[in-house]
Amino acid sequence: MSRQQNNRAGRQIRGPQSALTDFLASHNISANQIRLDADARRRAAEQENGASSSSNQQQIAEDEVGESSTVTTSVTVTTRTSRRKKDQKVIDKIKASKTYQKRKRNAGEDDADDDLLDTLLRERAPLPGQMDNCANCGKRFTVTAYSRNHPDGGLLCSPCGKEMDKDAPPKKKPAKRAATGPVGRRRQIQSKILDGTFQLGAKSLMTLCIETLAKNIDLAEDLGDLPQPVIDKIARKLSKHRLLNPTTLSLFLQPTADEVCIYDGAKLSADDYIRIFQTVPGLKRLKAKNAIHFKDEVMDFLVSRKTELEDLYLHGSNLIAEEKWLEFLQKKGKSLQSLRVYWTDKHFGDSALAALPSSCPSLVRLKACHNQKITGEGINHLAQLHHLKHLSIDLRNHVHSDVYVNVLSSIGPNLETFSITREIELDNTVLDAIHNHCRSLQKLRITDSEVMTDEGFARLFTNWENKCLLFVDLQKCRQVDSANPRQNPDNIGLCDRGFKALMAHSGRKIQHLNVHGCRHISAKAFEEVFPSDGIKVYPELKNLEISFCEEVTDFIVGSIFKCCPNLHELNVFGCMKVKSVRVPKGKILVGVPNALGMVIEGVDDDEE
Amino acid sequence: MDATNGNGGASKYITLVSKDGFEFVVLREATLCSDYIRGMLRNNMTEARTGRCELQDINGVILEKVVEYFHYWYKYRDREDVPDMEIPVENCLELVVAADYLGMDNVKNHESTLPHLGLRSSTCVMAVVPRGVFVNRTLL
Repeated sequence: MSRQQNNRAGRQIRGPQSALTDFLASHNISANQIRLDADARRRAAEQENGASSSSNQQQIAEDEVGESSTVTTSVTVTTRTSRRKKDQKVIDKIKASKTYQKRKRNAGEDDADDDLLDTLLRERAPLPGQMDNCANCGKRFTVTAYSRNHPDGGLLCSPCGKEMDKDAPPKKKPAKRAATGPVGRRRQIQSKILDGTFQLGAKSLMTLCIETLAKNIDLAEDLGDLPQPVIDKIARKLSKHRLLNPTTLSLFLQPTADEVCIYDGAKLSADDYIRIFQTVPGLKRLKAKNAIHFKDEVMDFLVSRKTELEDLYLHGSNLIAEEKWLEFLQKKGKSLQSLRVYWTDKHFGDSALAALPSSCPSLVRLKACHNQKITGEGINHLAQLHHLKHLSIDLRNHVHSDVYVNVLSSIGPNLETFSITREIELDNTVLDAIHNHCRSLQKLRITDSEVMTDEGFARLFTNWENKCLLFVDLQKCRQVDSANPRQNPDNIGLCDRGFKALMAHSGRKIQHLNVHGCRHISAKAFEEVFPSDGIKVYPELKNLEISFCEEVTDFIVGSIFKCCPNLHELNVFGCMKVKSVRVPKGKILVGVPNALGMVIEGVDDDEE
Repeated sequence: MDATNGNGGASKYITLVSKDGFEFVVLREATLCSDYIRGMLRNNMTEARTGRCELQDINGVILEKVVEYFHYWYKYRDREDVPDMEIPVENCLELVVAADYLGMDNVKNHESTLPHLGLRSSTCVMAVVPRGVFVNRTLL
C-alpha cells in the first residue's frame, strides 16, 4: 500500500532526498522500482537454479553423464554475470553523466549517492545463509558473512575465495606501535634494564639490520660473505626467536668456516648434526645448545671423519652413551683444547674424566655443568691435566673438599679460572689451597658454601701472591640457621674481614663482584670499603651485586656510586634499607623496592 | 653543494660520496657513530681537512639508508625510548655489509664520541665533567 502511494507520489520531493534519487526521479526512474525489479529477477534466477540443481540430482540418480548439468549451470552463470555487467554499465553511465556530477556537486554530499548506488547493487546479493553460485567456478555454495567478493561482482565460494586471498598480495599489517603512555614506556625500559640490554639512544645499525633479517629469514637464500662475528650475531638472533631449523641451518654452514655455533638446536635432527660435519669439513669449534639429537650416531660419524675439533660445547645432549664419549675422547681427544658439557645428566661421568689425562693432553678448558654422574673419583683425575687453565664444575653429587685440595695442589699454579658452584660443604681447606697454590687466577667463583668462615676468606686474600682478580662471585656463602637467622657467632660465610681483605687485594682491577646473600657483611664494613668521601676508587668495577646484604642503606649505595666511576649496574634486591637513592645519569640501579617499580635508571644530572 | 670550507677548519657538515658518485651532505656530529668515518675525520687526514669522504665500497642506495641512520641516531642520541628505524628487507644484507664495513656494530654513546669533535670546552662542559660524582642530598 505504502509503496503504491510512493509510486503515485512521483516526482514530488518530500523530506531530505539525495541528488541521485532526485535525478533518477526526474528521468522517471524510481529507486524503489529498481529494487523491486532486482528482487523479482533474483527470485526468478533462484527458481531457475533450483530447477537445474534438481534436474542435476535426477541425472545423477539416473547415472547419466553430468555434462548437461554443468552446461546448464555455466549458462546460468554467464547470463547472471552479463546482467550484472549491464547493471554496472548503467550505473557507471549515470555516475559519469554531467547532470549527475553537477547535482552531486551542488548537493555537496560526496558519499551518500555512491552509497545508494552500492546498496542498489548489493541489494541483489544473497544474504548469509542463502545459496548462491560462485562467480568464479559456478558451483553452488552457502553464502556466509565471510564470503569474498569477486572483482567483477558476485560472491565466491570458499575454495575460490581462499585462492583469491593467495593471489592477492598480503595486506600490510599496521606497524606495531611501541608501547605508549608513561606506564607502558617505563615498563618497557625497565624490562630492558632487567634483560641487561638497556642503553641510551638508538640501536646500532647492525642490530637493526639483523633484527630485520631475522624477521625475514625465510626470504634469505644465502648469507653471502659476511664476516664470522656478523653471522654469529644472526645465529643468536634467530635462535632467540626459535627460528633455527633444518632449513635455516644451511645458511650457517659454509664449507670454509671453522666455527659453527648453534644456540638453539632443539629443532634439529641427528641427520642435521651429521650434515654439519659433512658440509664444514674444516670445523674446529662447535657449539650446540639444546642439542638433544646430538646422539650416538652423530658421534659415530664425527669419529669416522677427519674433522679435528679443538673446542666442543654441548648442551643437553643426553642421548650420547658413555662408551661413545670414551670413543670420541680416545680418537679425537688429541686436538681437543676445550671441552664444555652442560646438562648431560647421566652419561658423562667419572670414566670420561679418567680418560681425559691420557687422551686429551692439550686440554686447556674444562667445564661440566649440572652433571649427575661425576663424583670425587672423577675429579681426582683432573689433577693430571697439567695444561688446564680454566676449570668449572657444577655437580649434583657431593665431593669432599680434600679432592679439590688435591686437584688445586697439582694444577693450581696454572689455573686462571676456578669455579665451583653449589658445593655446600666446601670448607676453608680449599681456600687455603687456593692461597697456597694459585698464582695466576683471574676468575674465582665459590657459591653456596655453608661451612667456609670469614677467617678462611681473610686468610685467602691477605698476602696472597696472586694478581688482582677480575671476577669474583662468592654469592650465598653464608650461615644458614633458620632458628637463629641473625646470630652468626662463628662468622660463617663471607663477613666483614673477608670482604675488606678481598677489596684490598683485588680492588684495583676487579670488574665484576657478586656478594649476593652474604648478609653478615656489616654496614661498617661497606662504609670502610666504599668511603663516602670517595678516597678509595675501584676504577674497573662495572657490575656489582649486593642483593640481600641487609645492612646496605641509601648512604652506602650513594658512596658506592662515588667510589666506582665506571660502574654500570648495581643490584640491590632485598636491601630493604635502600629507599630513595638518587642515581647518577648513565648508571643502573636494579631492585629498589619502591612504588616507582623495581628499577630506577639514573637521570640525575646534578654535578656537585 | 660541497661541505668543505676554505680555511681547512672543521665545518659542521661533511660530504659522503658513494661508489656511483652520489653525494650526501651530513652533519659531522651525526657521522661519528661510524668508527670508520670517525677514523677518517681524525686531525691530519685529508678527509678531515676537506670534509669529503669517498666510500668506494658502498653504492648510492645503501649510502642513502646509512645517512638516514646517521640522522636517526643523532636525533635519538640521548633518548630512552627510541622507535626502531625501518630497514628495507631487500637491502638488508647489503646494509649489514655496509654497517660492518663502517664499524657500526656497537652502540656508541653520544658522549663517548664528543672528544673527537674538537668542540670548544664551553660547548661540551656537560660531557667532560665526570658523571659518577654524586652527593647524597637526603642526608645533608
